[in-house]
Amino acid sequence: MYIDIHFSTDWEEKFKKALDDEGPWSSWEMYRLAYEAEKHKAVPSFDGLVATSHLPQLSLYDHQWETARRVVEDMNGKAILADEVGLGKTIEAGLVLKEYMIRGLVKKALILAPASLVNQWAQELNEKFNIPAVPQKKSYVWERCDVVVASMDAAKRSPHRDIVLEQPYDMIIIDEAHKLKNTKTKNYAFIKSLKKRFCLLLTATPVQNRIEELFHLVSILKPGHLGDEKSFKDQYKGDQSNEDIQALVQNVMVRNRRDNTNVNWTKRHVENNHVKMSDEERAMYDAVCNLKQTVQELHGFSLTTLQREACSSKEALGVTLSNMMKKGILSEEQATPVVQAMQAVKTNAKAEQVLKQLQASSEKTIIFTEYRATQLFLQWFLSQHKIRSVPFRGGFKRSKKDWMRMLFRDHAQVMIATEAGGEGLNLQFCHHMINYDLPWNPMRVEQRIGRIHRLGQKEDVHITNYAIDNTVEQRILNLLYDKIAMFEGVIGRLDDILERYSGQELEKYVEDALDSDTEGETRVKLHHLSELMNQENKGGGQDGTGRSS
Amino acid sequence: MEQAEVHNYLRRYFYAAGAELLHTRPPNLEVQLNKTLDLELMNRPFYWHYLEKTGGEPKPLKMNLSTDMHSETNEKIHFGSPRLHQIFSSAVEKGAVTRLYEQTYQKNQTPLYPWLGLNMRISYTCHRRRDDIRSFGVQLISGETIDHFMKRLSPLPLVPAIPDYTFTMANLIKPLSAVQRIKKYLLDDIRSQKHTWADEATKRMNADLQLLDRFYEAREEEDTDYDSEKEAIQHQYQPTIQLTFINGGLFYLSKERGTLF
Repeated sequence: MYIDIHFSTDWEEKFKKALDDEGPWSSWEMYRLAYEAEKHKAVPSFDGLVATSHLPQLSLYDHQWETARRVVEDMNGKAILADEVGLGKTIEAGLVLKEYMIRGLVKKALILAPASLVNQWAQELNEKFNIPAVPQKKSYVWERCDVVVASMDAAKRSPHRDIVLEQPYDMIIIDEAHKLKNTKTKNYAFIKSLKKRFCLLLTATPVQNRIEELFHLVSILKPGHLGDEKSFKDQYKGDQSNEDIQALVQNVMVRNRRDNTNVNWTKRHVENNHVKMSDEERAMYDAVCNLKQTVQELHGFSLTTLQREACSSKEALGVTLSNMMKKGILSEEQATPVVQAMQAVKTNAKAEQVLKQLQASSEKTIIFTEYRATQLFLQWFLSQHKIRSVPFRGGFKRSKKDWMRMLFRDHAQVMIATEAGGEGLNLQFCHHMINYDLPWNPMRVEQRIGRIHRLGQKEDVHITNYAIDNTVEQRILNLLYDKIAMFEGVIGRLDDILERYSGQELEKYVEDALDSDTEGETRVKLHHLSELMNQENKGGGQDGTGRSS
Repeated sequence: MEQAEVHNYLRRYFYAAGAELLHTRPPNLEVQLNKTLDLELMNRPFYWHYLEKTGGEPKPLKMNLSTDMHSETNEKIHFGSPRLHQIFSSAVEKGAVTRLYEQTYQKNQTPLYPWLGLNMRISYTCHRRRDDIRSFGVQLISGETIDHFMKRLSPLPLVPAIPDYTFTMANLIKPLSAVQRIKKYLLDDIRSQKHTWADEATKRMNADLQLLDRFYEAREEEDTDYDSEKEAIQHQYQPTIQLTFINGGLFYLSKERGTLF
């Protein structure tokens, strides 16, 4: 064992100078005050959290305190914080950062967050934790400020990249870390090359599709903790090693779940609204389904996409259709029946029902759609009926996102968000949500709900799902989502369930099921999936990823 | 640190720093700063620069603090607030070195013996940290070194100028040599101790380094991140002991030996 011993000599210089100059000497009282100040500041023990004594105005939930304690004491400051959406990962990360700053172990820290959240992060760190965090806007900020919040896109870009890599960061915090699941991306390489003494990765969905994603996240944090990539993959194929891996993961990941925290959650009220298409819309939908007969190479994925779009809006359908024609997947001749049917469509039955709901109450409502074309259409459609709405997309600049959120809070009744807008958007002031169309992946549905059903939400949350009768939409809603009680918020260990589908992508599975030759087959496949999920959910027992006690 | 303690500390600090105490009833504390304190605490260099150029009359600010976390009029202050830590730093800066004499109230000539007092913080750092605050005194004639010096000093009446009817004994050991003695004493002490915390940290470091090696051995492509990751792990766990002197000074006391305190 080797211990570095340092003496700082600053004081000796001062003393020497005072001796030479015969003063100036401090009073006895000031001398004592100096000594007492250091006594108060001293950290008396390696264990425990001292941050809480510095933050009397911060109210913490038990699971947040316990998470910070585990990260500091058991995980040596390198951890994946994977609480379910809305349990306050930011608070946990802030608390860990504060603890290390008080202990003098972290001076320089970098927080990488989605652009839309940069200001919010900086604000929360300042207000709740008295941490002087600065949002990166100018390039000198990297060097001059100790705690910097920036977007990944800004940090990895030249000329910032080189400056950032030069900085001696003591701690790196990465929000929405599931975006780093792909090792081939520039983001991944960039994060890998940052020096990480202490590091927190925040994500509500450590595994979206494949267990390898978790492997890659852990490799950022602690390379080798799950072995090397090849042996990990080989091992994981055999079911036997499952528990070993979960035990290992438990050492680097904290995952709190809604149902085992002592937070009093407001209720979720869920309503499914079944929509009947107009005859023209039905003809359009049928024309899309008929493509399966006329186009040989049209595989399941493309067809389901078109079907889902037809349920959303003809605008969304139009965009994909013309793209497919440009790429030569569809010939003009093949597309004609669909195009003709589209031209006959003058109304949108679903949009009209949504309008009725919005007109019946004046509550603030967020509408989620998968498609940008639908988003634009809805905004236009609502404005025709004097309902103000603001759009929200992942692609918006940070300032625009903040602006849209404020417009929604203060002026508009409705926000229309696309999937990319789902992450990191905090809308506790709104408690009505409309799923205009549904994603195929249950994790993404949960993420949508998490925008409004999170800590700080004081009202019960109302979720309305719109699905069109006798279409793929209705099938996925009835056959999958209703069965796993998705919307009631009792999905529990969904990610663990996903882990067990090693290799098999859930979305692919759903696609396949819906693409089955007969309705009966689809039913059986989706039933099988929902049964599996429910079984896991109830059975539980081997909670692999830690919970707070 | 309780709020009452905070209040008390602030009151003492401002008084010692020469501010005028306007209102001291808890939870509020309102003080009229003097120029030095305004410059130090209020962060308004432009005002002072402007004043210097124009030769106007300086108007130092008042500071209105409150230890009531619901106060609406005054600046709220508590243990973790940046303001209190600013004041802590200011106290450490102002109270760095001293020279004091024991007030003896004797009518006949009394000798005062020279002591060097030295307070320090010892920080044990690895991936975690703990601090130890120590206080030593060295008698500068005999060389006797005693612990808990601040505690022994606290009941004594200490004044900045040599009291009547007392005279100081000349020191044999130079103050700076005494500082070196304490350093050496501490180093010996540290080396003779068992540092289980450091063993533990080293164990964790070696375990992580081993994992890292295995991870990269299995990879075929050349990897440039290995060195920086290795460095990060070393940086994360490296056991370090940091010794920092908080403050110190010369104390002329009637006590010749440690046992007389």
